[in-house]
Amino acid sequence: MSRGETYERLASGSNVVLETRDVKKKYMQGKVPVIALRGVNLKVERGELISILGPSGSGKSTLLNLIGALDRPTSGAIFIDGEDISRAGKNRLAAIRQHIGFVFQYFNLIGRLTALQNVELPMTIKGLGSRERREKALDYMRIVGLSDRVNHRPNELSGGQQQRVAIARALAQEPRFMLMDEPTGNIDTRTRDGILALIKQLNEEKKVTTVLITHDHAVAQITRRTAYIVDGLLYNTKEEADAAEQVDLEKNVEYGDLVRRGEREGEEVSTQ
Amino acid sequence: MNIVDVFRYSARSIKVQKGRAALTILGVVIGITAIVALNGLTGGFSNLISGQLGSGTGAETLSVSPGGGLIAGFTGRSSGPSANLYVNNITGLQAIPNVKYVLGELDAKVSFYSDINGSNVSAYTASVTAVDFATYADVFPTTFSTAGTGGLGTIPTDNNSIVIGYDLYHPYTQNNSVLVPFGQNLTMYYETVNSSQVIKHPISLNVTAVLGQIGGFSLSGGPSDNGIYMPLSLAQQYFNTVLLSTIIVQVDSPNQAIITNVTNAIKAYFAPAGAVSVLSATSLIGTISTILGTVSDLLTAIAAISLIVAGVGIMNIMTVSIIERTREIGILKAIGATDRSVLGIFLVEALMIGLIGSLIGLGLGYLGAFGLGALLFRFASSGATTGVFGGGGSTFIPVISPELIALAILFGVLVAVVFALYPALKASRKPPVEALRFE
Repeated sequence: MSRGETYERLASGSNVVLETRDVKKKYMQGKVPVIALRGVNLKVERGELISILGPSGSGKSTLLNLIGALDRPTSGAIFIDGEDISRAGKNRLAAIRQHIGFVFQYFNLIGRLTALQNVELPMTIKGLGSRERREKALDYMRIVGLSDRVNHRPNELSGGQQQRVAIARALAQEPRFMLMDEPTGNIDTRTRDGILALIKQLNEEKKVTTVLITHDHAVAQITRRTAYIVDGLLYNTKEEADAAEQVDLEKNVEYGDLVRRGEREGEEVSTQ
Repeated sequence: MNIVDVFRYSARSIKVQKGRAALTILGVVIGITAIVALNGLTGGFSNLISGQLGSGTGAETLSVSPGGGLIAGFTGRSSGPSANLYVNNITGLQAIPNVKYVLGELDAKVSFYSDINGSNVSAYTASVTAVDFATYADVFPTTFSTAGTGGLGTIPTDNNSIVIGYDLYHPYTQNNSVLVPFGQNLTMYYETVNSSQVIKHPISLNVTAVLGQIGGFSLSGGPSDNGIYMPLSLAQQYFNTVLLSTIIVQVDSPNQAIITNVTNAIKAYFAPAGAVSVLSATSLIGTISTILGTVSDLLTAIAAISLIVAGVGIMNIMTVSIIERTREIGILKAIGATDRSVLGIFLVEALMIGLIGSLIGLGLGYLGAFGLGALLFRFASSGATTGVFGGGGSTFIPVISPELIALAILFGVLVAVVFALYPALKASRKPPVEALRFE
């Protein structure tokens, strides 16, 4: 897709921020080919809050890496704001990532930087001036409710506070959408609700488009829409997903073990 | 990412890993210190020698000595033909075209007694140079003169007086005691051996002049601060000889072609070939500079090896540091850092280590050069009155040129960056997915 088309799509008022079309991903685990995604179709509209629910080994992380522009699909197309990123070069992907708000399970803050410096980091990478960066970062810290913790380092903050800093950092990217990978996976249940409330609040008040990837049904409950990923395929309802799971079990394919399928289909496997 | 932010980011990571960074920097410091100190020392030494050799003698002053001469002595080629220099050769050489003055010099060692501390009368030795005072003053007008600092009396015209160098009189004037008194008679002893018996031949001569300070020593036969000068005709009787140690020939032009012609004519006069050596101060300085240059290059090469070792250390530490920071690289990439930014961060880290190391090394090298210089100078000057480097006024100053400073910094930074290049490239090319997965 050319640049011209990209702008045309935007101009035509398309409300789709993120779209995947028949995305497949195969990779090698050692010498064993693994098919992680077998044709995923997903559409996320502007302002949406969607969760993608799936057990470990379902291809969840692979999908996250692909829509997060960290990796390229083996086949299929991924559109972010109308731009196909599936064949984009390294530098283009990096530029696209500047506008994707990553929130990780393990926070992934940089330990030697203060909370504020961590929040400033995406803006530093974009090359913003230091005063502008600081003002904006302070604002984001206020939004996540940590105005009194700006000069603390990550190891001086609780898990919940660290995740709030990570969310502030994601906001600092002025993201097209936020991409959250088990954001409460490393936080105790009491703190969890606060984080989930913040995510919901950001979506409702700031209209932040959010894709929340989790294995936790309770987390998925905060979103209006939930997609289910089972065995490398995405389903729109729980019923379809359950049925697919059932088929898998009947075929006696071990849960999460997609190796045999790869061999059976005898498809050419590319390595990443 | 703009460059200021890259520097700020890199500075923070150096600050966090202070101990490790300090060790890396130390490697660079040692290398640069060695390079700066050694280069400064050899440069200063070269200047000192050139300065001392050159003082009072120019390109047009040639020194004729028997046999292969000084350079042959250096290289061990001491056998071969050797001519005697006689007093009557002076007239012979005067006949060569373009020769302005011919000066015969007879060198000898004498001893004398002095009581500079008032109570203790002790024996001293000094070298006596016997010359025709009038010609000597013609050939070395600025140095064989009492006009300079500390000069006393006038150069005598009679044949029964002596002239002494600045050092024999002046450094001992404290407590009103002098090594050799001015205006009085000095009794010197010249020793010969006669059938296993040492015979002392005394001579007592009036010290009528003290030369002004020269500040150098001369291999070209010029006056020095620690010499005693005696009229040649008197010396021939006293030492009972018609031989000369050196003949100084002054050419009437500094033109190199004329000097070469005169040199060849002198050599032809003292046939066979190689019977005498003819040296000018300029050629001697050239030879010594070449030798010192080689020594300097060798020392620099050794110092450079230590810097290369430091570079390997930097590479090693960078590799470890980058493995430890894999996850950080993943985070940076996930929030949009390009390969170039990541490369920049690590290269700037290396650059800062190189720069800090170079600057510290430069400072230490500077101090080291001056410290070692002072130490060497003291050693040399402790050799009493006839010490070679002891000549008052000529001080040892290490040469830390702007070029040396620039090169040292450049080299230190370059080594650090070049050795960091491979690990930094590896870091920058890490796929973000793998980097983020790293525990």
